[in-house]
Amino acid sequence: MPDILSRELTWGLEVRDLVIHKGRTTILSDFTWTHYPGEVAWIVGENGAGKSSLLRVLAGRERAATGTVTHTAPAGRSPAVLYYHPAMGLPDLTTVGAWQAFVDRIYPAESRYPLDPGLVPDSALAHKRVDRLSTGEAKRLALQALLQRAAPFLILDEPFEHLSPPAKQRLASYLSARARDTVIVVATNQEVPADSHGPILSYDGSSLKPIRLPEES
Amino acid sequence: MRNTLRQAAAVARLELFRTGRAPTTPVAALAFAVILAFGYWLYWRALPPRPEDDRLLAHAFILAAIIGLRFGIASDRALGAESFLIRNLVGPAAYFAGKLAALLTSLLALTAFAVVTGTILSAGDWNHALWYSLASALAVCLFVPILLLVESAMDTRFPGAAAFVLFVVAALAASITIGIEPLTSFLGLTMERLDYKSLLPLAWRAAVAIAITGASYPLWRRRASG
Repeated sequence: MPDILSRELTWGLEVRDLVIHKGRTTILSDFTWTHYPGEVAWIVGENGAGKSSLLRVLAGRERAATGTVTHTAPAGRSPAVLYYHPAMGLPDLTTVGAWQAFVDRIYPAESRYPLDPGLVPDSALAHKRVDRLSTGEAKRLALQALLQRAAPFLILDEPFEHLSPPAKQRLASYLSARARDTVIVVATNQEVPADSHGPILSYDGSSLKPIRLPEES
Repeated sequence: MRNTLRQAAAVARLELFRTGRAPTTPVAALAFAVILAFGYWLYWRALPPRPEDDRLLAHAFILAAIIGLRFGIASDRALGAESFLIRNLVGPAAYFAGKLAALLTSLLALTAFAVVTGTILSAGDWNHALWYSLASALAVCLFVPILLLVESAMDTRFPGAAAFVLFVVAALAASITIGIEPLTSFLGLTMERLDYKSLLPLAWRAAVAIAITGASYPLWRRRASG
């Protein structure tokens, strides 16, 4: 695996000697990995293998049994890690318009990350209640809010699930473009988009094996 | 700090929008108005001398608060919105402060609604409506920390009812242990009807209850996802 320092990059995600337990089972042992901006890293594996547990640890939302996960941000930026999991949802009793107004209020315009217009919900939905959206629409709305934040780390668990093929394509292209200045890790049980780049790690529930290396290694 | 305040204000606005659209809000307002209207109807129909110590407004107010007041923390957690919002979109402190600010604003709105409705239904006796609404709002503040406890511990859509039951059980246990008068005095419920100065002990306790709710942030954070 390439090292961020040998590539003269001073920031990225660094994992050292990681051991993760899920209950009494060890789902990952002695995993060391470094990922840097440039390409999306894909973690593929079956449902229930433990990808979500691994991603929660990579996102800093859960602690590993042993080992370290370090998020080193570029100078002048906070090491904010955005994390998405399919079980996450939007607050009920609100409308698409009210939700978007909320997102606009929490991020000052100057700190917002530009968003692909194809990921922005249709303005005709503004008065629609969020809890009456289709699963795909609600997911796009959630991802749209998340991706507007200009954080240097983006850890996404099954972001393509329930999305229509065009929306999947848009999201994949957006992530590839954004990976230039963001460390992005995506876990999926689906096929990695055909025109994607970046390392692919296969997870079988106990170890991660590279099945495609970073292009620039 | 400025960022946290901006985020807390955004959370509070969203929560107030949700409270406005919650089905329990019109039910709470209607319950308050119907009970009060029925009480006044009985009052005006009664032959003089009419009873002066009418606590119906307080009872209707507390019922409306039980139905309508909520932090929204429990429903956020049940929907996975808490883990989505916290750390991804807003900081945990901003989330908590926003929820508390929204709850207090809702309580203020309920108080204003009670004053206006009480004044109308009592044929212009605003002093009566204002005093009872204020006393009720201060009393409701006493179970705000319990409401937070309930929402932190249970995934319920009706946290007010659970908080009220807990409050009553605790009050009953305390009254058996230490007696009713010491308990009434401890809770600051020793006011004189229509005497605003006599609300001061209750106002102090209400302020302490809100401060306790704010200080419970680390306890809530342990339970909160995200």
